[in-house]
Amino acid sequence: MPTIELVTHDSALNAAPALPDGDAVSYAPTMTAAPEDTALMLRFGEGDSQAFEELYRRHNDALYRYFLRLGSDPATAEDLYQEAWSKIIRARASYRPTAKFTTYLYRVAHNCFIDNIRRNKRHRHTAQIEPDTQAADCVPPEAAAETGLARRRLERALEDLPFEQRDAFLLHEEAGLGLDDIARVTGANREAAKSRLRYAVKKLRAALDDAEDSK
Amino acid sequence: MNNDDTRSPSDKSVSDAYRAVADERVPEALDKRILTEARQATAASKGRRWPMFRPLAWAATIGLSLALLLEYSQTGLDIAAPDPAVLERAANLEALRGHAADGEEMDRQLDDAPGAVVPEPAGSTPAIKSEEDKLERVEQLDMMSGPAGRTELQEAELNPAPVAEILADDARSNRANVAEFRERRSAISKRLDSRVDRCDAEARATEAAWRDCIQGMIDDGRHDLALIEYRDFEEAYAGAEAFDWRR
Repeated sequence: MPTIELVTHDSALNAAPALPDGDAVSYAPTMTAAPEDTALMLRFGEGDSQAFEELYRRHNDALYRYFLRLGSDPATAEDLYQEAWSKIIRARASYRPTAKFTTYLYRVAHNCFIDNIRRNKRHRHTAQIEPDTQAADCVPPEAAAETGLARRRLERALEDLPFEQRDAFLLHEEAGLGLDDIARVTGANREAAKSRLRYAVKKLRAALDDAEDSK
Repeated sequence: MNNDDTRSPSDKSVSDAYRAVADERVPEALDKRILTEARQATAASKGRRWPMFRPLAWAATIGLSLALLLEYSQTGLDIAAPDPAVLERAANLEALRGHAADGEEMDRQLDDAPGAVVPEPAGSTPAIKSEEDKLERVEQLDMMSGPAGRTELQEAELNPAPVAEILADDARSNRANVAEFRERRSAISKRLDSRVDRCDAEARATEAAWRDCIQGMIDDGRHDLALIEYRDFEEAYAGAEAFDWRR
């Protein structure tokens, strides 16, 4: 397990995937006044269940999508999601803030997924999204059809990625992790993480371009 | 995001495309399950976070156990089996009483034979009563093994006077031993009587008298004996009124 240095500032909340042109796009709400994830986790370790609830609400959907798109069917994704959170809950007393909480959370999640693959020897690459897990927002039928088409295209492109590249891409997009943290979560070195992410983005971009051309 | 992420191989259009479709949310039931698990975990650990109350919990447990034991004892409905150590002690006391009785029997036998004549061992040589007998016996022994081969016993046989003295000494020694034995038996018997003061036949004659006897034991704090006595009492008077064990 790689050594993780102490990070006192939890920047995951304001993190956004970096852009080649240097533009910053904030995907997560700015929460400067809110307690950091590590502080919440420490409070939870002392028995504050409200702190856990706040922490959970910050990360639940992203972690769920990570499992869902990493290659699990919805039922397995739910099992793994619950298993990951259960591990976090059980380890609350021994938690030490040696890294960003997001890195810690996704490392646990990544290991759950790998363990599941080892248990089952094979995993399904098809992410089957059930209707009841979709966003409940009411959208016009045309927009819904377009979104559905885009979703299937992107999902197909993600499915075609090798597991390591898909993992790196999802850690970057859903967890907002940088290259160093992706390397820590996946147990690879920084260059490998960078290479995987670059190939993933390149292939997805090509798939999206093809779709645009075919319109 | 880390500063070095500005060089991450990302792409805004890909990221936007992904975020446009990646809008799945955790099912509410799953949310509830996990949050409930977290609440239960913290609630369970809170119970373990008050070590100062642990002695109090122990004291309460012991107090409750004693209260239950007294309650059962008072009602007399379901007396637990007495401690095996108590029963064993009582059995040992009875055995000692038996030995004491044997001692008394031995006393009587000794008193019936005041001369303290040591009985002649079976198969021993008859006493030499005259000089002729003695000469005859010497010749007999010399023929068997020669003068040098006589044993001490044979010499003693030929010279009975010292043997009589020895026997007399033995008898005196035996009397002294018997006297010592009587003293010791008496002391033991006194000690036993002071400790094993069971209800005698007179006390057991009626239910009321027997009850008074047992209650007296309880009042004196001799609960072990009272419990043993109570077992006999219960066999004789099943369903009798319970005793007050709290005194």
